[in-house]
Amino acid sequence: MTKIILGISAYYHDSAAALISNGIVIAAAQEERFTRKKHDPSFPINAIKYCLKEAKIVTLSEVDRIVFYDNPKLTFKRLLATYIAYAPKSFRHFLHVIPNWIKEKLWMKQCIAKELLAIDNKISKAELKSKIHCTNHHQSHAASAFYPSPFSAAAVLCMDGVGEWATTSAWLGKEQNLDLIWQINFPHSIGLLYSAFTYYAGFKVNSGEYKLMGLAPYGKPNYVDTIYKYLIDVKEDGSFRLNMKYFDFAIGQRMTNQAFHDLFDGPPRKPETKIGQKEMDLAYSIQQVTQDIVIKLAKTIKKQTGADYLCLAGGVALNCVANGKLLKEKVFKDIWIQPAAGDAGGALGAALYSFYQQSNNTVIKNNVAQQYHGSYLGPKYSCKEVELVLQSLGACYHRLSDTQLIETTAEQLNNAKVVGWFQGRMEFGPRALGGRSILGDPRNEAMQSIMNLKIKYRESFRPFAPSVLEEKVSEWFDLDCKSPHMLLVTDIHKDKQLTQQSDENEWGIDLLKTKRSEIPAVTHVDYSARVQTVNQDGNPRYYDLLAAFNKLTNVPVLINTSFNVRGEPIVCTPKDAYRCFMRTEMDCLVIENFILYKPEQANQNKSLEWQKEFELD
Amino acid sequence: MKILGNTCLIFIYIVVILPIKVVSIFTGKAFLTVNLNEQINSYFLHTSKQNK
Repeated sequence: MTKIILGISAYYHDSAAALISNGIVIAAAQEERFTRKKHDPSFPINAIKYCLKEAKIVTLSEVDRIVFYDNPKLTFKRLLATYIAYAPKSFRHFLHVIPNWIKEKLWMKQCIAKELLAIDNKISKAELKSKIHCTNHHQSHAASAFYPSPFSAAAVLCMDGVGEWATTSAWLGKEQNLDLIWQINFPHSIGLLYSAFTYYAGFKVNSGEYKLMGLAPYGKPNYVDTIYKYLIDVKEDGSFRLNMKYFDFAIGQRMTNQAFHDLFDGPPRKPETKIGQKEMDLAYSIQQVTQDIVIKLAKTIKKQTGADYLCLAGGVALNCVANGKLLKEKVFKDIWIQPAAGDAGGALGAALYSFYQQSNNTVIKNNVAQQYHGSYLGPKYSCKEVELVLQSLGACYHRLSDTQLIETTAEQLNNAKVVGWFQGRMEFGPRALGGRSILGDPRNEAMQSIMNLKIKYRESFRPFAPSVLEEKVSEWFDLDCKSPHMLLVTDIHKDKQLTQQSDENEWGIDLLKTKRSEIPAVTHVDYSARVQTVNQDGNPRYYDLLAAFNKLTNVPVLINTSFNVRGEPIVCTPKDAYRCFMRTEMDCLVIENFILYKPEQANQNKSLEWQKEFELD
Repeated sequence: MKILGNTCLIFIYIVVILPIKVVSIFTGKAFLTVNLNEQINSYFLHTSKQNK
């Protein structure tokens, strides 16, 4: 009998829903894509509706289990312990947070049942409640990493801010079994440590961490010793403990306190003000410390489990620089990282964990890996649906055959045009992988600044990532394995690097001025790049485009950045894509078999008033 | 209603949280390990010690 399980993550950040049928992932999506509110924490009602529609489920009676990705009762216990530990300083936080817990979060099953009744009022509340279960936060992360991986046995390392008590955990996965080995508990968190520096450098916590990672190569390791001396004690096995004298996150609204500010000679940088060498050095230093800890932890797990492979999940697993360094260390034969490694992926993990652990299923685990669809688990639109939308918007478009579409788009890219690329199912997770992407020519030196300032409207220091034909990856990058989810950073191949011509006196953002490789638009100032490998099976149309561009230019690489502007979630529908296309200086838009050129569009509005619609991230 | 709710919370904080804190100081039972301990080799919590 078919077993259908709905996984839900909600109420913290990055709400999402995922639906599996007999362990096979049918659909998964983040709520932010539908509500157009980045990192939306609200109950993922739209994502759930989409998942049910994709699985052709009419009533929730057809769903066997509904699994929430977190255990609210354990989290509540942790909160109480924190209030006791920090009394009387914890009083304000207690007054601020506890009412919401008493009203809603402590009664999670009732809360979820009430929300779901809005979708399906034919099912009784009692029946609905009987279907609702909870997993633990890190169980969900571990399951989201292990079950969709291609390994039948692997060690699993989860690292995030905090989930209930755990901030870091190690697991051993074998077929359908997933067993906890050890964990590190709150408040000692590598994720929260990184977030503290994100906050101090003037970026938003829970969204600015990847900016700090991008800023790191501009800096120097000037603060590494200070971090080790005052902020964190790291043992030989990689286990660590934070010195809470310097942090306020346990009970405050801020991540850091005055002692932290005194340690680094000043208050946090105000958001949107000039970034200086100090922020760059801090970014470099905390990145270095994070990498050291991740590598030490991985070596310990290898020693403890003897596993050949490693799976990673949790927000820290989105630190693709650390992932790249870990891969280079060759501690494990291979690693697999959940593309939705943050809390959104918890929805998928909760469903998978429930299927394998609580149901005592004996299905061969690898079925899941084969059916993971390369993380393209979101909505898709037929040509008919797209055409109706374009007509309703009054857009000027051309319908092309598959071959014409690929050739025309490759020519546009070769002519230095920036292309919006909307094809097939939307990606699950924060990376655009050729389903909802903005593409450009990586050979063009000006493209990095054009795309940052005129298309994405974001900070000029931020690098862009390359997509490359899988079979050509080792010719262009220092990488000899697949990286289909853009979660590994590696160096540009030595043969493609240009002889250093930079001025010795160049520092900070000025480092961007030097052309460092044959593909300068995707080469960061330290010669690194966050690589996505593309093969025919994973995304055939995107593969064909890369192959066509290669035929024209002898370069099998394209710039691939997410289809959105700063502060906006990645586009979901053709309407979102058209709106984003019209608001930015993108030159053309390719949606399924339709191509739209900017000069041909009527009603071009040059006003930037729309930018107020999205809160800056 | 909000005033009543807040009064209850303040009451709970004073009669539950604060006394437990005081007792924990005297008994030496920490509710959260927040101090660095140089005397042990590892900070890992193994399965039997979880969620304490």
